[in-house]
Amino acid sequence: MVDLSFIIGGPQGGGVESAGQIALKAFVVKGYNVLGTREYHSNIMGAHSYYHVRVRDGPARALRTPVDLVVAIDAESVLTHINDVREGGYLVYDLDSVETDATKIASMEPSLRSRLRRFFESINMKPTVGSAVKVLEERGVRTVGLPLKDMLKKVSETLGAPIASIAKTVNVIGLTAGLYTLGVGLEYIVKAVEAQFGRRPKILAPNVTAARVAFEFMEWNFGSMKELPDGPHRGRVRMVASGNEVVAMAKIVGGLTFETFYPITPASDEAFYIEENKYVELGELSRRLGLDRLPIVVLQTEDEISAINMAIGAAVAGARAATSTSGPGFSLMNEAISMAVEMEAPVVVTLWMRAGPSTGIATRTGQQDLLHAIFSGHGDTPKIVVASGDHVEAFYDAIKAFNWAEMFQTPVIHLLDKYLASTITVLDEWDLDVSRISINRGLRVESPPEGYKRYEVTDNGISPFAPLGTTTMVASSLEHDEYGFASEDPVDREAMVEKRLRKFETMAKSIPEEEKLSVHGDPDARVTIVSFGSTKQPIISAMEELEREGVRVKFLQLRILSPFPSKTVSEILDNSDLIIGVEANSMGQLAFLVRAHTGIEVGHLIQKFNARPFYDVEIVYGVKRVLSEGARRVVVSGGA
Amino acid sequence: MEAVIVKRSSGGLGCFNCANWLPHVHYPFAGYCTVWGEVTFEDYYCSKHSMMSVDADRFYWCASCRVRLTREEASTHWVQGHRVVRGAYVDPDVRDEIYEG
Ligand SMILES: [Zn+2]
Ligand SMILES: [Zn+2]
Repeated sequence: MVDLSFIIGGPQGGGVESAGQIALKAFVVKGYNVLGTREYHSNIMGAHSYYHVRVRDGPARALRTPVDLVVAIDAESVLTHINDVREGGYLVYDLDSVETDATKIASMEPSLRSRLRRFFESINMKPTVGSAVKVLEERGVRTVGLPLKDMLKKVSETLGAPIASIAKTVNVIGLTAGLYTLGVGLEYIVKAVEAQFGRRPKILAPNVTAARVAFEFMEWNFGSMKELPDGPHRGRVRMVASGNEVVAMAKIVGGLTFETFYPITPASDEAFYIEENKYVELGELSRRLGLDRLPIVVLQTEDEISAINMAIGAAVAGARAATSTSGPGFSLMNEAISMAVEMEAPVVVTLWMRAGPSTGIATRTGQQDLLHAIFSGHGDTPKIVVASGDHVEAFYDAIKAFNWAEMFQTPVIHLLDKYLASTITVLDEWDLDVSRISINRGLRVESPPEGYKRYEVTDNGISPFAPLGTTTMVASSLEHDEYGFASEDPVDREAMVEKRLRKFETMAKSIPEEEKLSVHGDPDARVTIVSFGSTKQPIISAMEELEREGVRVKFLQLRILSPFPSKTVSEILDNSDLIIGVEANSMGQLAFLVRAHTGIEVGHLIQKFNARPFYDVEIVYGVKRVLSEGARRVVVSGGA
Repeated sequence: MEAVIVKRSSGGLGCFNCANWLPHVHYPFAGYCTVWGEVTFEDYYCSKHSMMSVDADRFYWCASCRVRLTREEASTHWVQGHRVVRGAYVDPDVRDEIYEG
């Protein structure tokens, strides 16, 4: 069984991004499943950032530490990840950095600097890279010092030309040395470098040379490489994509025609991807229009208030419309969510959660906006909130979100997070199968009849939807009669509130139970994990490990959080002896919802709120602590 | 130009203390020579060498602290032995490596 983890660390903006992607591609070419995420600082270029990767022949579901390899391009990375390499693993570092003292590294967080100083003081050593290397060697880590500067010179000399991109080339040198220790041969690395820079010859040539120089260095010093056998997917054409990209693809194939955004981490990349790929083939329609393709409108607005209001306007006018944001932006959208409910506007809000409150840690992950999403908007504001567990779910959910928005003429909030946004995984063609999903635009009337009532009172609460402009009609934020005209009449008011409530019941009844929740693992297990969102794959990975140790657990994954599937959740939880919540927030927001809807207490919580994603080993640890000592609350803290 | 780049520093002079040289913002052992218009290394030397000093009223870059400095600030860093230069070199493709926020 192949199960490798590694970290590539370096200064933000200093080439770690390319190196991480090259590493992922090298393993994909080699036939393995990969999962990789980037951790980076929100506002300091040069601050420590890293790529964290897991490679398996089976599914790569979660990250973990300790890792088998840390490639530390700079001094800060060696010191930051001093506790992350396992015994027998490798550290690749820059030989010229050994003298560097933690107290002199300008970009290092002061708290980490103090922790390092205290640690090295306690063992009577200076807090330098050299000391760290010594400590690691004593712990059984194998260290590889690279003369990075000389190697870069050699690349330049071999090439007979100056280096075009110092950062990328330095990183490819470090990465190649690292991949050698894992048994990835030069041909795979070169293929991955070509896949990364193939369209840019000025960058490609020095990086291919860099890989050669680094590989030769390793062979010269450590002998010929022990080759890792090819993985089970060797030779297959597969796709690597981030969560941002997968959601963007889904929106495009899901019929999006209008997307607004105001730039915010980790949402912007989604809009950028749509912008880059916004031309949609028109097929049949093209003959009529005399065009073969049309762009999706992607609009960067002046703020989030404008972003959602424009999207609502487009939705009411009949476009498939969405906006994309994260917590702070969603706060600004709150008033408009309420208006969308009042106007029955089919708008989709893609909400990429990150670590709040406030701007908090803008580039790190968390699941703190569940209640924010559920309770967004003032007044009684029934709406759909759907949370995706992984890339594949995110793809289908993004399309379904449009269907639901139009079927039920309601705002739909699609809940995702920074971890999914920036995590890259490998996907097969059949993972994102458009034929598995149809586009349902709901009850639409393109030519409304005489006397058309936009808000006609119906049994299921759904009125026929005519796009604004197809007849004389009113859509506003005010309470209204069936035509949409403002009305404060108590009978009209009650009828409209009841209609919206009936519509909410219709949503609850129409969405199949299997789309609202999933049960993973042994359905008869007496221990139940309850969670939502991106914890899904880490939990499943943890369950696989627990099962090997004879611990039987099932996992109730909530996918639709509003309307809440109370009855099924009650049934499942009533049949459990022990309920463990797993949440990346401190308040137990899902546990709160479960209690509110079912009266059932989630008695134990495994939580992580250091703004880094859950590792599978942390969930294994948490479950064991709950089972062995009945721990009520286990807080796990992995990640640098 | 009859001058050439020599690939080792000479008599305590090198790109590292040359006013024409901008060390890379992240990897200051390499950098950009504004005279030759290409990437060179800190221990290279050429006949166009011009000794780095902090005197003109302009902005400077401290490679030790990774911070941009005014002339007064630069003098303080300079006397403390920090690596003060005229500016830092950023790769032309740096945008690939950073994310919008
Ligand atoms: Zn020179
Ligand atoms: Zn300084």
